Parts: sequence; C-alpha cells; structure tokens
Amino acid sequence: MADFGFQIAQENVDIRRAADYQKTLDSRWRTLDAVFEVEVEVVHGGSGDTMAFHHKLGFLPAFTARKISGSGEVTWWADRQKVYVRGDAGTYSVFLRIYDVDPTVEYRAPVLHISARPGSSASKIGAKFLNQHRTSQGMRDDEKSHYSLNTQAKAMGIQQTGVVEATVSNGHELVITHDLGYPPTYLTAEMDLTDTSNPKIAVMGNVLGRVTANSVQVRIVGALAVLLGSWAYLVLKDPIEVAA
Amino acid sequence: MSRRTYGVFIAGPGKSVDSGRLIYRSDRPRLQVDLTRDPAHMQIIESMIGGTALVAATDDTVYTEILLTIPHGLPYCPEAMAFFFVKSKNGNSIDPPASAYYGGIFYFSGTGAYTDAIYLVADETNVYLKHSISTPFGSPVTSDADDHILRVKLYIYSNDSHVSAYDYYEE
Repeated sequence: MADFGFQIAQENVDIRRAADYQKTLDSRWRTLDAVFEVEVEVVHGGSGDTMAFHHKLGFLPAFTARKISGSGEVTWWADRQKVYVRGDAGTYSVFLRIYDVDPTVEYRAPVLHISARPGSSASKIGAKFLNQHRTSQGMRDDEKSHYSLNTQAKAMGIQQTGVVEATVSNGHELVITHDLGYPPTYLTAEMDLTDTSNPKIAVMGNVLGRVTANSVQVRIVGALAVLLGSWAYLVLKDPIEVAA
Repeated sequence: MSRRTYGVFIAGPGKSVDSGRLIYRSDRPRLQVDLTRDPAHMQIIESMIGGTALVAATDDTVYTEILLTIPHGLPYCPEAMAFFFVKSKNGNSIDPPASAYYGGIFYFSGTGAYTDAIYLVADETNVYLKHSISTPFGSPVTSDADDHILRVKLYIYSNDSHVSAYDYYEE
C-alpha cells in the first residue's frame, strides 16, 4: 500500500522536521477525541450498579466523570453499552466525557521522531477546524475549546493502550512497558471482570500506590501492597521536553 | 451524528471514511492544550520544594498551604493534570530520576494514621499546587515535605471540567 497520509504540525513547526508530539494531526495515530460530553442525573438506590448513560459504543471506552452534585461516595463504571454508578445511595449529577478509544485493546502507535529536529523555521501559518456543534463562534475566537483542531493547540496523541494485571505471584505490581525513551504521561482504569461476559471499566485516572517510571517502563505497586486484578492503561504521545 | 453532516473526516491508512473508526472528525472535541497561553498551560517545573514542615494536630483539621498559583485565563474550570517526580530527598538524588511518578496527587506519607500530600486543585480562575497534612487518627505529626525536591509536569487543558472546582486531596 502506498504511504498515503495526512499531517498537520503545530504552528511555527516545519512539518518535515516535526517530532511526533508536534503534530496536531497525523493519520498514522489517533488522538483523545470525545464522543460524548454530557451532564446526566441519576438516582441510585445504593445496591448494585445503576445505569447513568447509554453510550452504545460497543466497546469499553476510556472515560472521565466529574461529580457535580450528590453527597455520597460513588464510583463510575462503563460496559460496552452503558455507564453506571456504584456506591452510596443518593441522587447524583455528573459530567461524563467519553472518548473514542478502547484502552483494553492492545495497541501501539509508531514512534517516528521523539524529539524535534533543527532546521529552517516554518512560517507562522496554521490551520483551524471549527467544531460545528459550537455555532456561535468565528474563526477569530481565541478559545481553543471552540475548535476541533487548531495548530495553536496541542492535541493529546495516543501512543499505547492495553491491559496489565497485578497478581500475588508478581508482587501486586502493574508493569507497563512502553520503550519510549522517557517517562510518559499515562492513565489507568480498573477493570471489573466479575461478569466475564460483560466486563466493566472504571474512570481513567491513576492507581493509588507507589509508582516508578523510567525510559522503558512504568511500575505501579498498590497502596499497602494489596493491588490485584486487571487494569487498562493509556499512554499519551508525550512531548519529550516535558517528559524528560 | 450522521457523517453526511458537514465537517472534515479522515480515515486511517487503507480505511474507508464511510465506516469504522476515523483518525479525525471535526464534529468531536479533543483533549488539547492551548500553546499560546502565558503562563504556559503545558510546562515543567524543574525544582520545587515539596512544601514546608506543616504540623498537624490530632483532629480532623486539614492543614493546607498553597505552593503555586497559575491563573489559567479560561472562562471555565479546566481539566488539568499534574505528575510529580521526586528528584531528591534529604539532598540525596533518587535514581532513576523519575522514581516516584504520580498523577494528580503525590503522597509524602499515606499511612492510616495521617495523610501528607502535594496535589493539584483547579477552579474557575486558577490552577493550584497545594500541600496538605491531616491526622484523623494517631499522634501529632510534622510533615517532611520540605525534605523533597520535586519535578512537576503540568497540563492545563482547554476542556471544561463542568464543575466549579475540584481537588485531588478530596477525591
């Protein structure tokens, strides 16, 4: 297959010399794009899981949840069709941001250039794609959330996803091998495999525990060494000057 | 949302734009950082003292100090991330250099008796790095945050959190 593709570099970066992280868009890898950004209210009886939102994506999505109101302690879980609340009884309002990525799928993007290469500076030109769902702004708007793509903004590229397990035999440790050459930015999400025919995934965040990272691996040992089970992870294509 | 709507849609190599997951579609917001902001919305703070030797008594009080305030200039409380690397403790460098690598909150100590941590807070005006200690159980304790030199990696996203504030110490 011919090497077709589409690339856009950040403003002031020559596309021919851009590092991976300086690409606003490169058709060889994906970025963290949201399928849904939605506020929902759910009344939870306190036992089991109560459905909060029907995403219908057909895969276990990476997602985040910001609790807007509700006084109890709850966690949020998604299966291939829905998002659920689990924990204390109550009425909860939450903002869900659900991404178009299944972090449980083993995936690794190509690593082409991890650092910027010197060369002639590019002219100060760029590209902007408005988000068509925000109809009130124009192309002179400086607020980047109004754009789907803007070369004055850095989109978070997806470098790697997959699942790692902490077991008694491996010392309750999660090991993410990335081989990037620098400690990357990463997120993790606990998985609930109680019902093996219908696995669930928690919000993307960080494991509470002792974490070490180097140029090859991220190693996570849970608090009080009780970490067990499967965790999905997502490693971002990180700018090396920030990561190093 | 139908793909017959207007917009820009890009499929991956060898894929059709008519079906399957796309590399890019302009009808979806992305997690992104504004590169034109001052102070920078993506930055590394090379050497930061973990805080002062706060003393916590044996009650529910959370003793807090603000270590850094960054006005973000966004018209909402943004999503943000902070990663904390311990560069040294008591003057001793830690090898490998990123030997403690936490997102959102880093616990100097997180025993059952007390909690001593540096963490990220965001509201509609600023992003903060704060240090707090509390001892819901146990004896009075003095923080050793001032023994730590940290490297902090910080992202402030141009993405609305849809809350007025959040705080990794409370979460």
